Amino acid sequence: MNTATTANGHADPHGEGHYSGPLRWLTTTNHKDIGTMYLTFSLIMFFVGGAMILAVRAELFSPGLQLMQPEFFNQLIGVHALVMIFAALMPAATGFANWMLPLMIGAPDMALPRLNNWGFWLLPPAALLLTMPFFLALFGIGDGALATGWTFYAPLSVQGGMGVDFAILAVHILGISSIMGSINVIVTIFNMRAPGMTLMKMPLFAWGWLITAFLLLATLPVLAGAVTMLLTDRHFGTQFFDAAGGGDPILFQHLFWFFGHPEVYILLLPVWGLMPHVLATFSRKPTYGYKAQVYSFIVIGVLSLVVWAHHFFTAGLPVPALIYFMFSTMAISIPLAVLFFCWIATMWKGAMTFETPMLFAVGFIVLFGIAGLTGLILADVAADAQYHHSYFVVAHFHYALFAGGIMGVMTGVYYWLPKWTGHMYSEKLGKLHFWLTVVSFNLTFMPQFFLGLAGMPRRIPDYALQFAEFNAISTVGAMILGFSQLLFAWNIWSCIRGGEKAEPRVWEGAEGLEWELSSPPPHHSWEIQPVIK
Amino acid sequence: MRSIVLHSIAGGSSLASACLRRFQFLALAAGSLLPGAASAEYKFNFPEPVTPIARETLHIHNEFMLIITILFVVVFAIMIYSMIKHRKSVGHTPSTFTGPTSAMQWFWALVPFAILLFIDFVLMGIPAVQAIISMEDTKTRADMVLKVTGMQWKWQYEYPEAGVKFISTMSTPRAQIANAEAKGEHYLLEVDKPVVLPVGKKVRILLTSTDVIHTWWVPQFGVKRDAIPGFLRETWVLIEKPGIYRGQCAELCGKDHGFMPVVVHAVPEPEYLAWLEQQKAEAVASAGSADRAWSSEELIAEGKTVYDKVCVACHQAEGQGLPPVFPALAGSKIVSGPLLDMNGKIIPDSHVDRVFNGKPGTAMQAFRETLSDVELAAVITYERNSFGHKLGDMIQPAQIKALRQEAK
Amino acid sequence: MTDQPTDFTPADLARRRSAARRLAWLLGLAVVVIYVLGLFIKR
Repeated sequence: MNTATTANGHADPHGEGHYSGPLRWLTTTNHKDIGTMYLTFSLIMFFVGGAMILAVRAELFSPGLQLMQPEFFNQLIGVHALVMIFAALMPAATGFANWMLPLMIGAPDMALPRLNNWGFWLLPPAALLLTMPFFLALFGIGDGALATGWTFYAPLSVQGGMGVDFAILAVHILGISSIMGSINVIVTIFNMRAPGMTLMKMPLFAWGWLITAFLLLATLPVLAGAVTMLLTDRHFGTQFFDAAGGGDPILFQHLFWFFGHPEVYILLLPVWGLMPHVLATFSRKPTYGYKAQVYSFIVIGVLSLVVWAHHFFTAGLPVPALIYFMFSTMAISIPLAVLFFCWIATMWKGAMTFETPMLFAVGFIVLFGIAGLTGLILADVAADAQYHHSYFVVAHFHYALFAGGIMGVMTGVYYWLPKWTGHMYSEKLGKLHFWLTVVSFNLTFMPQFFLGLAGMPRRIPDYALQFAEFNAISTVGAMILGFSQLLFAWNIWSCIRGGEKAEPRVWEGAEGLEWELSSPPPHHSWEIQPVIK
Repeated sequence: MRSIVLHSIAGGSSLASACLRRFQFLALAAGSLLPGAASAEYKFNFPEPVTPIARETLHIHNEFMLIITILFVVVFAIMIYSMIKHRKSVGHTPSTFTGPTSAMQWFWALVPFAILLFIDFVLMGIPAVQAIISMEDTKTRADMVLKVTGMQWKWQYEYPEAGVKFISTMSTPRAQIANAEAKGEHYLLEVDKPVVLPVGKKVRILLTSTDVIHTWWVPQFGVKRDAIPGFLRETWVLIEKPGIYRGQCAELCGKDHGFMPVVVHAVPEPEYLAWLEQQKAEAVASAGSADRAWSSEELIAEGKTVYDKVCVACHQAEGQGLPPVFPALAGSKIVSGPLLDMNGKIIPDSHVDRVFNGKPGTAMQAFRETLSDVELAAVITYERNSFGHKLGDMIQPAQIKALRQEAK
Repeated sequence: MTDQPTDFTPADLARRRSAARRLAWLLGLAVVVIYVLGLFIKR
């Protein structure tokens, strides 16, 4: 049955990996090594971005300026977002893809291993570029990092300091890295599947990632183009975004959000692909509505490319445009509802147990549900005028990207960690981590909905007195949320170091090729090809 | 009374989860523990609406909150039921179905989506389209025009029909922001010169900006619109109730984005007209004063007022600036350079040129458009005789007026 | 799903990898085209 698990642990029958120590990691072309590097990088940057926002929340604990000046505040919020999106969430998803795709589709490795290595090693320099202006400013060089928010809106970004140039360069590099990762995912899925694994038999995780990869290829060049135009506006006398020269600041918003909206789904699709696996495993029941989910992924992918302008409903779009973007945005609720339906139907009449990954999956469904429902009302132009640019939006997209994105990633980490390390993590710590995260997350972001309704704009370093109580609560929540993530890191670390030995089929109800291999899997995943019937 | 009921209903519905009660309890508990908590009133919804649009928006918001709350409760009640009943620990044996099999099952699987489609495009969509059309109809039966210009970090208001315009800046002292003084009741939401509008009149508001994108927002009006440099955007308000309404800039516009409040005084029409007459008279007096010769002391005194209002946010109280972004005026070669050339014309990149035309690509804007002849002459003279500069020269409002005409 | 031991023949692997490489270049080209077209966008 399990003929493929003969090659043991880290034996190296092909004589690859001539190096040991740091050089091994620098030169590795092994998908598991690269996946590990992506995930490690992502975890580190998650704490970097988290530290930034904890400083922001500390400043917002009470009215008045306590800890920092507005300039520095503006830098923290923008870089926090870029770090979390580009350096924490996206690399985590790419790490999953690297580790799990070959295992799940029966391939020996990713199709283009050297491209894979390059894709990863572009990330650390980019992260350095993004954060370096903070440190340069300490030595009196420049005026700090990007202070425009992660959206780079022109003309504020044309006016901004050196930090903008660093961020433009960093975004270019991060974009190239993501494009290479996406190309690799696409060609791996199209060319390296085991015989018999047709596209419609492929695991949903692979499907989710396939759509993500196409979205990245379609939208990242547009972002790159937009920031290139910004760069030439800043330094080479062009006037793409300057009305005085026949340009238009709103053009930048169109270009940015043509990337920015699909980006939300880029972050979420891998997680949506992962969820049915986890839910089916812990419900001990096959996935409900496989085809419906695949088609929903595709429909969401396509729709995400045609709804971008709902991010600037207050910019004064013409009425027909407002109506079109409202209805197309609302249309996304249909395929998304299909996914929710399938998730719950997968649990229905199963035999559920609630290990940590299942807890995170259920937490994800409920909290991401709040994001989806508030998204529905945000789509409504008539009500959006009040929500727009307010803390209501901040709360909404953190329900989408923290509860949806990061908690989704945590689901995957707990689900696959025993497979990666060969050890079980501490279930007790995992559950504690889950409950701390969920409670403090709501404590942080639920008040922000009310702040937005009461009229608090986002991105302000100081606020009027009527917003004081909710901000204080939110800060308390954020501190608990931030520090409980140390439990997560500790749990992972101890799991790598040792623990109860994990079986090949880690979870009782787990189905799929990845569970046929030993835990941890052999250095070369599928030396002998599995055949799918 | 009514609004309180409304608040609590909408508060309940917008939370919509089991943690609602716990959360409200936490909110109250934490609030009561905070020293010097400013207001005991907890707001779970929009502030009281005072325009037709704001009322419509609140109505739509409350309706949607109710709808999504019901969706949330129904969907997750089903999930939680399943989580309780279909556990391994209660001995439930798993089924193996992977999709609807019978026609009946297909029917029940499709019903939720039909309901959702109905909610999206009929229940929410149709009223939304009507609301959009009325929100964007700025021109029909508009009684007057107000032009709003955003600039870093203040608002300029102009009444084109009356020829009145002025700048409105935050009046909260910096000491309050730095926690050196007790904070006032309207901390950060107070201005030196509020914009005055008549109640019961449809006011067409035109928006633009001189530098970066700003957003003009008064929550009680239900109106929020971006002010974009080089373009005109518009919206409208019809204020139904006299009062003082406060809001602030809602689009990140640089360092003092948080300190750019909007304050609107809505007054009955006769009061508004009287106010407007007074403003016109002041404008005439100011224009007339541009033609007379000013003494250096007068200019410096007036210049300090202008500086403290318009320039101080960047160049700071002692002219020390915030390098490297906002250059210092103290010790600046531009300030200490020559005033005008021998023909009385502007020298490129000189002090007058900077103040007049700004510096493209930076926060230094062209004040030619936004300050009066007297204000320009005063602030230039003030800067040349302050912050360690003792040039002793001055420029007359009449000279500014002449330079302005040449530029045209 | 069951495994049936059939070797990943070197020839098969090579064929798959070169197909993957061709597709990768094609996708990369598409990306560059989108980028370049983007620079010519006018309002």
